[in-house]
Amino acid sequence: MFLQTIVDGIMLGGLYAIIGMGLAVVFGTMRIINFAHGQFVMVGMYISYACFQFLHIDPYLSIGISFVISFLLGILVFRLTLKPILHAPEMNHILLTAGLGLMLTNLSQMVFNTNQLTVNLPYGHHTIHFLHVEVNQAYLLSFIIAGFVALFLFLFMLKTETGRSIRAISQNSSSSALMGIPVNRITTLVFGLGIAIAGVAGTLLLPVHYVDPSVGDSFSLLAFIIVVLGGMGSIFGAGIGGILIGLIWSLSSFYLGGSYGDVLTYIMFLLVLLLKPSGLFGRSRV
Amino acid sequence: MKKWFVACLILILCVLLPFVTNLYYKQILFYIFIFGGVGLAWNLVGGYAGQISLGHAVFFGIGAYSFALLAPHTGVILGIVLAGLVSAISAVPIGWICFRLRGPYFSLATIAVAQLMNVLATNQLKHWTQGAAGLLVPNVVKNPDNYYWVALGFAALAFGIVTRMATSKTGYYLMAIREDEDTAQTITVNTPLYKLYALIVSAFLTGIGGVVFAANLGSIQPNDVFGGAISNQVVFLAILGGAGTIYGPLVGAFILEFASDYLKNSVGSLSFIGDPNAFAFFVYGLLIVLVVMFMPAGIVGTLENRWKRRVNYGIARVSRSQ
Amino acid sequence: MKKHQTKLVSVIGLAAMITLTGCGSSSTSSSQASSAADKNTITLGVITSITGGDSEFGKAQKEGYELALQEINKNGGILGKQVKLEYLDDKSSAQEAAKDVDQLVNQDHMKLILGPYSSGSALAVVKKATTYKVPVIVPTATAANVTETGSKYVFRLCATSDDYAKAMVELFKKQGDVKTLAIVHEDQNFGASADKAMKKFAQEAGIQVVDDESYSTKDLDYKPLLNRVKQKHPDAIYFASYSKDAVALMTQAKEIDLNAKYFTAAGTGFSVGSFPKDAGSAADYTLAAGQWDASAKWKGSKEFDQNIFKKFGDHPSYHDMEAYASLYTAKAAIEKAGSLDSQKIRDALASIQLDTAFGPVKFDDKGQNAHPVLITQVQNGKFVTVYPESAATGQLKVPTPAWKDRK
Repeated sequence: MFLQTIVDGIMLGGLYAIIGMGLAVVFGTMRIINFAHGQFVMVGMYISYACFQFLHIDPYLSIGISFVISFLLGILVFRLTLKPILHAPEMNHILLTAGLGLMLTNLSQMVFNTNQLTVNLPYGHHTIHFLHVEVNQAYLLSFIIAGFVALFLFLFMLKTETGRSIRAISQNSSSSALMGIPVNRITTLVFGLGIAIAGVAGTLLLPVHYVDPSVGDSFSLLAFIIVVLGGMGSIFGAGIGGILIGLIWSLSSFYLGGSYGDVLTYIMFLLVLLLKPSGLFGRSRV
Repeated sequence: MKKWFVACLILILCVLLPFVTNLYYKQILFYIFIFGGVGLAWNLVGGYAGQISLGHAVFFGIGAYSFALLAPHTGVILGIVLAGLVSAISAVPIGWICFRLRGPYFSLATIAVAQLMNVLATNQLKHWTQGAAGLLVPNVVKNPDNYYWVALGFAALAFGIVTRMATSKTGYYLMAIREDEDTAQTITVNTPLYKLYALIVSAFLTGIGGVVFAANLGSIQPNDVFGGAISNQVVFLAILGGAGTIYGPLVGAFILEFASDYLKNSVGSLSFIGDPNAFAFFVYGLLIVLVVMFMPAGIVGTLENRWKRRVNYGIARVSRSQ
Repeated sequence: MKKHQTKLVSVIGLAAMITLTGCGSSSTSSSQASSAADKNTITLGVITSITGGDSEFGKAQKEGYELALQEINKNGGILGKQVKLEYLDDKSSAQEAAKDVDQLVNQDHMKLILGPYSSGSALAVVKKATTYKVPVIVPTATAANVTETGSKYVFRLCATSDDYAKAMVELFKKQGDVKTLAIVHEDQNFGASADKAMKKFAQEAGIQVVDDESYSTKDLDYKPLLNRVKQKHPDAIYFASYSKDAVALMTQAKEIDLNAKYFTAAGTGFSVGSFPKDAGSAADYTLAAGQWDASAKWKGSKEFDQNIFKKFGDHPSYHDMEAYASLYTAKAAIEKAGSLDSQKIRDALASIQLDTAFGPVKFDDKGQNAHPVLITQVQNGKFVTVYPESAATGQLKVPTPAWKDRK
């Protein structure tokens, strides 16, 4: 049972990690508290739902579609709303993104109504038996794809010119500009990328969770917990943070009872903030 | 003295209003006073000291639950005072934890604390709070019409205390912390102490706001008072009106309450946009976005800046002409 | 700078406009409502969850109201006047529900309110409406405390969470093979009340509650919780769940091979029409205490099912029916009172006796209608009423076979 709980926790953690990663990219580069992150995840879920319902595309195959649409949506939103107030106090970012979240939630309600929608996949409830452990196929598939997304993202940051520019900006935006890095263009790209990953996270969630307009509300805080836990803005950190939260959640639900998952998650978050504010795997104290 | 003059004028207006308007507007004004008052309390910490608390519902809820649990034993008046005190005392450990963090980390910690209390009140503390089954709250006044006066009293109390503090030396210390905490520390402002002081006063007022809110509602569940909706509403209206301004939260509360009420009632006939209520909230979100983009200092803050600029401009012109 | 100022002015202008027109439009709507009531229409106030977490059930309620409204107006309305419903959204929040009462009573001069969906909102609405002495008909909220505020103005049509638990425990007692029970409930008002009720009745019947778990409908995974239940080996499990969480709980119970003699539930998620379809074979054998089913023997039940399907394209759950029946109850009460007067309508409701497609309606001195609970079982993907015997349309199939023994 212990092993089973650990495996369940890791599978769940993979989903958490991908929710956190999009935020890690944005928060790490621009220090914007994006309160609409969860709502962008919700949008990704709806995109994949629409693909499944109307075009009969398997959710796992619609990842590309939701990546591209979310990316464009992210760039649009950034250009129209966030860029003009990028240098305003952070409380304005909070309020603006919260307003955006409200708009997204209700826009999806206007389009899809308030029903909780699910996709019934033929393989959704099958399990794989391995060393006395049962693993649900949908969770496993989401976990593996999340791993690949993380890997690509990691390589992109590490190996490409754009990735290097992003890392430079996250360390010091003004001197990056002096070095000839097109800060404006890169930050727009980063925001688009962050939202695109949020969209992918939504796609990966859809096979295991319902979607309704208010489903994103709880993901924003969760994403922040993961990002802070793992260390600011590091993609690797967000991955570890997500799996850690998955484990904490699953172990406390099993050993203490159903409602303790959230309690221990929040307590763990507060403890990490207090004892190691740079996160478990962060380098610099921010 | 001018600020008290305007305040008195508004107070007189509010005292006269119930005699010319109907019960419905009295109820809207009730919520404006409650959230305006709590917004003023938030302003002390978030606006003046620049510590953006996104979990003020924690004090709101602690106040409401303390009152609901204590008042049957102690009576109403003592119950209110005790609820405020319990809330103020709870600010000490909460402040001790959260104020070790700065900027966005502080904000996130405050949300986590409020969410933690929400979950605990729903599940682990069910023995006292009845969980989500709901706890009945004793009435503060016999006749429900009189909640208007209770809320008005609360708003006036909050306004008095916050304005006194904000315009005293404490207020300037808090603003120094907002502008640059490290510098404030070096010029011998005991920043941890002043931040905690502001939070305790803010928690006291927020707790009492929670009491009046809960008593008017008649019964409470954890989500009603600890939920993110309360925390967000308070921050929205304070920033919308103008964080760090005296009248900002009241103006913000006034606009948000009326806007949400208007939108709720006016779009019912528009059938082409699908769900009219969703459309109303869409517009509400849009309104928030527009104000942040074009009036970043909030409504009162922006007007004040314009006024100052005009005055400065006038002075400059006068001095040039001499 | 100039451009900035223009924008600024326009935003202030927009805000001012909204505030001003807000006052204007609300007051006109009120005068319309009151004047219309005098002439040839009667307007009744409805509070339900159009947005927010409970909106799926709010939508079901609205379908029930709309159908009843159509029928009533076609057959001559109430007191010879056409009926209009004014819907207010409580955004699935008790605070908003209380505000809605303020608006309906003070602004729109409603003399009767048809209550909200959730138990939390219902409690707030009852508290508020009582202070205005305006009667409330509560169609769906099951939490026990809704009728226990001492109010004389609450009239609840549906059976309560106590009735659900009582019926289920009676079934257990009759079967005689349930010694241990686990309760798994969502953590809001509905789940909390169902939990409280079941603990009480199980204890009285000598059934040991070996596990009591609460969860949030937002949770992404229920397997750790269900594994916890599995370790306690309960004879029966009692769920209190909303819609998609019910599906997830049963499919994941199947995945982890959680077996019990009885999978039972307090209606709601386990009774909605989509449950057998969404949960597939995992839904089979589950028992749900509910209020109504299309197979119920009351006159009009079948027609109601067909009409809803014709009008809205899906089969109704008991939430649709409760709303439908409560509008008919309102009609009967107003006709009995003979006028639109809050006090007279209240008195009429207190002594009313009528038959609806939801069964007979008669309120006790707490305002509770003694509505019978029906226990349905999913058999081969269809709901079959199995208890009480007098209403049964099929045989109870228990104990539930282990997952590996099912085909």
